[in-house]
Amino acid sequence: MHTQHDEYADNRTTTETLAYALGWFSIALGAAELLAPRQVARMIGIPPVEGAATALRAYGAREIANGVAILSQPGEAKWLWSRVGGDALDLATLGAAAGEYNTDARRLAVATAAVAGVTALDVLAAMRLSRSDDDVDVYGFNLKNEQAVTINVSLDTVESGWIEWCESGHGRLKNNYAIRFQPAPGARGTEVHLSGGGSTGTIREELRRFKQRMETGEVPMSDGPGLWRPAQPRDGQQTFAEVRQ
Amino acid sequence: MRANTWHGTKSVQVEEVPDPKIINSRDAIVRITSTAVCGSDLHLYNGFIPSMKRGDVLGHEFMGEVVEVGRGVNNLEVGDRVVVPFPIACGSCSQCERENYSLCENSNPNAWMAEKMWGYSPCGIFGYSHMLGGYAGGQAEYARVPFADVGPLKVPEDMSDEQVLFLSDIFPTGYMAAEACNIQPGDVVAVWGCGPVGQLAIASAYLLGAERVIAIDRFPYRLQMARDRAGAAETLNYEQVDVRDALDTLTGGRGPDACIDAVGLEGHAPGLAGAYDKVKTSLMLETDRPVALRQAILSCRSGGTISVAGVYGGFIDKFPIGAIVNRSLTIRSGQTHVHRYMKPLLERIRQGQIDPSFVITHRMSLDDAPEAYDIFNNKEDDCLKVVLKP
Repeated sequence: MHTQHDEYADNRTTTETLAYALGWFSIALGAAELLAPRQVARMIGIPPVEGAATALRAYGAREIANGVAILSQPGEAKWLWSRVGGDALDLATLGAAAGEYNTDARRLAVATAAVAGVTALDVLAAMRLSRSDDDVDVYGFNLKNEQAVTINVSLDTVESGWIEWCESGHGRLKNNYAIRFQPAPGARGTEVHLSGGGSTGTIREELRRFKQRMETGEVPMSDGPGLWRPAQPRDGQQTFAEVRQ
Repeated sequence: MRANTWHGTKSVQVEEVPDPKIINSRDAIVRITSTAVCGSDLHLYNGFIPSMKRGDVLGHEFMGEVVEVGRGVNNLEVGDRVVVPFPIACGSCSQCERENYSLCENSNPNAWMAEKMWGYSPCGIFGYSHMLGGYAGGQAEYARVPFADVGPLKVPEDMSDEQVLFLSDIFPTGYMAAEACNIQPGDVVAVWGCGPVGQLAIASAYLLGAERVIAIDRFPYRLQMARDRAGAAETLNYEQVDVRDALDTLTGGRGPDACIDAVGLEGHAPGLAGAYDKVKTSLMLETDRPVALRQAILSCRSGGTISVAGVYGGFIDKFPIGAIVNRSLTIRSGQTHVHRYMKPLLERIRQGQIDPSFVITHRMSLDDAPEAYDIFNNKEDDCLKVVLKP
């Protein structure tokens, strides 16, 4: 049986394999540019003068860094997009060279065609990885930016508690969130899955405070919340506006 | 009120701060009658624990009299005499239900900070950094005790402060370390570190039926207390003998059945091993110096148990995982689930099986807290345990 999950995983794997290959290509090309800039210059039809060699060394360092980044995170679209940017720079350099009198027009054309071919592959991999980042629809819900907590209270109580929590004005989420409640296995209470409505930190904090409220009746207060004041009692501190009842 | 506050590495000051108030409905305010300096306070003093701020009130071992209760606290009354456990626990999350109180999921309001630093958050702890809750501590005249309906243990009037104070931390900590060894008849237990927790781990191992306990430290006065008061059969000064060789001989070549690390992250060792970790921690290449832990793992008999009571905070180097795998060792650890042990241990004290106050070497005024930290940290004046009176 070929499930949606398998299909997703297959696509992802193919793209990552391509990204991996591009990463190694980046490193190989970069090493050649860095170590033998004059030979590379000759090969692509540019006179091997000192200025060209210096530029090629810099390009080589960029290629290697980019390649290492891809190999360490082959699933990250941004490293592939970074390659696309590098390709654009390469193409611009070759285009600028094309007008010069002392270049080898035939070699330049071949090199430009080769870079354009690689650019197409880079764009393909980058787009595929970007797309799959957006719809990580693995088990029927969006894994990206979803946070979850298990509350040691029954499903019914948690669901009605959430409504009360929102109405009481203690929630700090923006409106565009998705929340899902499901019983945790083995009578472990209720799982609450939350996505959207704020940054990952905001979502985690919201879940934590809601859990505290449901399990202990209130949200415990620190004497030194954050690090902007010392952990010692304070004068004039307002008694916590309790969320209980 | 007066309180002992943190002001940077090796700097504490007793100063005037506002009195605590009820903030949450399950809070109580306790007027402190006795409080102690813990070895783990020295990790704060020496700057090993991140997220401290100047002015933080220190202290997590304290007891006193209830002077105010929030309306959510039904089991305490004004005037009750209580010992307060150092971990703060809500009593209703899944970990509290399992009696794993130091893993309480609700008591750390700054849990996000611990998650950033460590990737997880333990319970909140009194006076022990902002990432563990930012709660004001108990080296003060008064303290706010959150979840006071769960933690504080009422103690009988006929028992002295000194007899029961250590139920707040070090007695349960030493006891849990010994309990984790699953001691069987004939077992020999080795204890690294003869500070207060080590002393009480030695005594607890005997309470739980150990045949012999071997104590390891480098300070003669601590080794002497281990022999004379805690009851250790043998003591080893690791600056004078090769500990592994000595343990091997003393156990007939078997190795100790269980090894307790009551040292933790600021361990010392003579020679190259000690220098290695000093360099690594100075360069921030590791956060903790696991010299005792390594030695315990390498010394334990095959199939034995390593019980880690010492405080470790972060990451260590050269951890002998091969010895654990190849010799089927069991490692047990945890911040102490103090609430679980308070009542049974109070009963043991009451019955005269043990008097944990034997570890006290200094009785001082709260105002002398800076001096107390100094002599305790430098092991001066044969200092082992300081009790402060506000």
